[in-house]
Amino acid sequence: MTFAISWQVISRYVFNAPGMWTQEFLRYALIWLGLLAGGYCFVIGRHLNLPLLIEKLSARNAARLNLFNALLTLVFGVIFSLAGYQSLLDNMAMKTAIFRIPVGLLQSVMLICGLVIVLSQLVSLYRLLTGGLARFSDLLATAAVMGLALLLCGWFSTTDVFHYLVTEHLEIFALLVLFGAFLIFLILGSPIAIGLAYAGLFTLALQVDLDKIFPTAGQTIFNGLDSFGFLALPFFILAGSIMSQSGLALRLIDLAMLIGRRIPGSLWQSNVVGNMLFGTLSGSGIASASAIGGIITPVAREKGYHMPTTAAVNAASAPCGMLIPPSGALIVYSLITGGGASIIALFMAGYVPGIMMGVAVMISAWLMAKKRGYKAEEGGCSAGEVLRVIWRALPSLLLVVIVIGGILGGVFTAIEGSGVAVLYSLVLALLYRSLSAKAFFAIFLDTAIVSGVILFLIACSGMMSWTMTFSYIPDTVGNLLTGFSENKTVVLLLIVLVLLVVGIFMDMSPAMLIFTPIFYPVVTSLGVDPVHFGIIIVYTLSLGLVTPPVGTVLFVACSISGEKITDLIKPLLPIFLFQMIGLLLIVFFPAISLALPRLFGL
Amino acid sequence: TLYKIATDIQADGTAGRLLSEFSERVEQRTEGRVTFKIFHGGVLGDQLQYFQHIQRGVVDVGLINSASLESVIPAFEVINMPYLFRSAEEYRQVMDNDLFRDALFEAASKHRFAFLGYLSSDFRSIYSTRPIKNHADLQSLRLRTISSQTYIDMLVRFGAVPTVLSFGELYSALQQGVVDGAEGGVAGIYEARFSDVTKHVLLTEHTRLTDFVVSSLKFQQSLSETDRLIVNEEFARISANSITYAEEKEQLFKQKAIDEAGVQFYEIDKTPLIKAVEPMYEKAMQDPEKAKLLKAIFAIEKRS
Ligand code: NA
Ligand code: NA
Repeated sequence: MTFAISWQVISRYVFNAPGMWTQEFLRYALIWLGLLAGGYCFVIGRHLNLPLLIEKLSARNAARLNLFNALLTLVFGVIFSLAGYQSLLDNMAMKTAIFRIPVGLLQSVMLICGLVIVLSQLVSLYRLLTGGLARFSDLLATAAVMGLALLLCGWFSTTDVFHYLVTEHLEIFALLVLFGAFLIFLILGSPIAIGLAYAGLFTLALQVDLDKIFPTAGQTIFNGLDSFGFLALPFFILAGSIMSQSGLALRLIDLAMLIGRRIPGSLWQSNVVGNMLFGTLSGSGIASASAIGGIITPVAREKGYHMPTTAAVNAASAPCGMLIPPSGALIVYSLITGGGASIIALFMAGYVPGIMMGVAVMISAWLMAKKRGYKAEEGGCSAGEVLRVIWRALPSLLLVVIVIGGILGGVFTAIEGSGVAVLYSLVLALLYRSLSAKAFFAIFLDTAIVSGVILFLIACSGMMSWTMTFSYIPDTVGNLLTGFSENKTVVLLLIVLVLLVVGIFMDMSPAMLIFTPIFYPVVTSLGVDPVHFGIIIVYTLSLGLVTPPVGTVLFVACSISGEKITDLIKPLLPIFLFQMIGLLLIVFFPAISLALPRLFGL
Repeated sequence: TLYKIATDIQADGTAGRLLSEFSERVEQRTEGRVTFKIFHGGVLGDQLQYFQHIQRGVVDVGLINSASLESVIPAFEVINMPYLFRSAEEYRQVMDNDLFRDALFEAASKHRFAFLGYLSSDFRSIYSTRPIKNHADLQSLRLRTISSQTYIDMLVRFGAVPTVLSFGELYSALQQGVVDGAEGGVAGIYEARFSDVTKHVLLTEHTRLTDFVVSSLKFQQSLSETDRLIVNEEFARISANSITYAEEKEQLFKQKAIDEAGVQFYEIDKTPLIKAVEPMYEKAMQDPEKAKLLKAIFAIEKRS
């Protein structure tokens, strides 16, 4: 894939030839990577869940709950395989534009992924049963309970009450079913992606004939990954991984440390500065959290820092890059508004709020460090040392220059830039001979796993938000809002509140795709500047990336440091407090966002 | 009954307004027996994605352009062939012709969907950040086009270098110089603010991209005979209006682009371009299904 995206750039410039096949190849390669790696992550048990309840139960009851979750996942695997098989039959006539490959063939990856999931869960069921804690009778009982629940739902769907709810109050009913189902699975500790998928399935069942539910669900999961923009994700994870493994990003961190060393808890400050520096390179909070956090974490552990706080600082400051340009999120917003807010104006507007978001983390990190009695680094350092650190960081900094310069200069797009970043870091790693062939393989596998977890989650949340739209849930929310007040600031604050709640459950891009079209006309008719509103949306949803249960940046930060999500909640609270103050400032003072673009006459 | 319509366009555009008009009039005339909920802006997916939902009968109605339809029915390439329609009048004649419509409907039912009708866009031309005044200026120009083999083939034969980008990426790609220009509707140049950066338009008028409105078979079957007649009548009305609107809009936005953004429009002698794409017709004639459609269209247009 790296090869293909580099080829796209090279072929465009060196040979002046069209690189159309790469676009289509990459588009489907990403989906295959996401679903296959997602399936593989079930084999090695890497999918994220919220183990609140399981930790509180006795060993035997926990084993029973694990049985239930394995069975639930197994059934999902069966459903997903069936969906893949049905799509294979249905969509053979539909061909892709360039390669003319049948879409059904491409969708057959669902069949493979589903079968892998089924096999993986059969193995874990076997392990649970032979492990001595769960008995075969438990398995039968679990299956019986699930079957009974399903029968009850089936019976309920034939009653008049059900019919009345669906025809007269579909929006509210769907809302209850969707969030109700999701919360139940979440509390039971099922993999979050599976919980999302089932919530979507149940909601879909309210409106769609039984025989159509599985292929529809399967297709929306498949489509959840069908966005060229997501490509930057595995690429920046890979680039970050290469940079950290080969010690390249370490030099960037040294620079950040130089800047942050005078402040108590200097490593945390350096992490924030590093994330902001990285933010000028990528528009992905996930990439930032993995690249910078991946290097800070081992150092922090060695120096005896409080690890949950370290992970929290990393998670909370990683989304800065979504406001500091270049930013995919701002590009998406500009696309949704149909150019009502220009990309370049949004980019200029993003600088100050992005830095504010980082500074909010720095302030709270400083307070937490003082409370824990951490000291600033002792002594100054010589001018020679400063120069040496800068010199050593230069190759890494040059990457920023190459990628940013390349994007701004029009040599390549932001997404192609992610491929270039991989290529550049590969070349550097080869030059320094700091990586063995074995290490390379480990990096690739690790990237696939980390991307697999996230991509599979994105796919399932894509399906859930499709179902939400299909059940008119966003409209219901929009109507409630405008019925509430006509005051500009009140409506903005309400929207912020709604987006904060939405952000708790939903990832940034689906949330933006769904809610921008609802809110945008409302606020612009009240006289809010489109650029200002874009910054508010991205800032608010950035916070959602760090809140459990669905927070992709949080997941990455946790999986990198190995901390539990539940342990991060406490250190995250003060950080959120300061970030919320920043958010309110941005809402009340449009100049914070708009001064810079105005200065440039945008 | 409430039916779902999916589109990937904005509600306040011409097609969006026509669809609301259609939905309101049908609701009124069927006394609320048939009502529609329109999902604009691609919230239910892109065209080929919600098209699959329509084939399954999960979504009832959807908007799909002729380029996307190529992916489902290869014979549809024919409608995207450059210089198939030489004037708006010729276009109207073909689209409203019963023989042509029958051929379409027959092809559709094999693929588990039905046609409701069409909505016309304006003629597509070529615009660029560089001065382009004639055929020679097109040589080696990197132009954005839509993801369709026919369009790619056409640009190659014009001598340009086609690049497939999504419409959303186009503005920044033009601004950053990733592409030198694009082929597309003239009204869109001003409407999507491309006129900020592209100041030169060559009026090649090569194709007319058509938005087809398709429905599920389930939708057709669920309508009573009376209601189906009303739906078809109302759709025929907005189809006819769409051509007039497209012409008016093209004129309006063209003038705005000239007056407000200083965009230059150049007429071009189309003969060399028509000649350049002749092999595409020869190739299409070798495919029996495409030949059948082409001959039907040529007969309506009274050309050989
Ligand atoms: Na950024
Ligand atoms: Na969240």
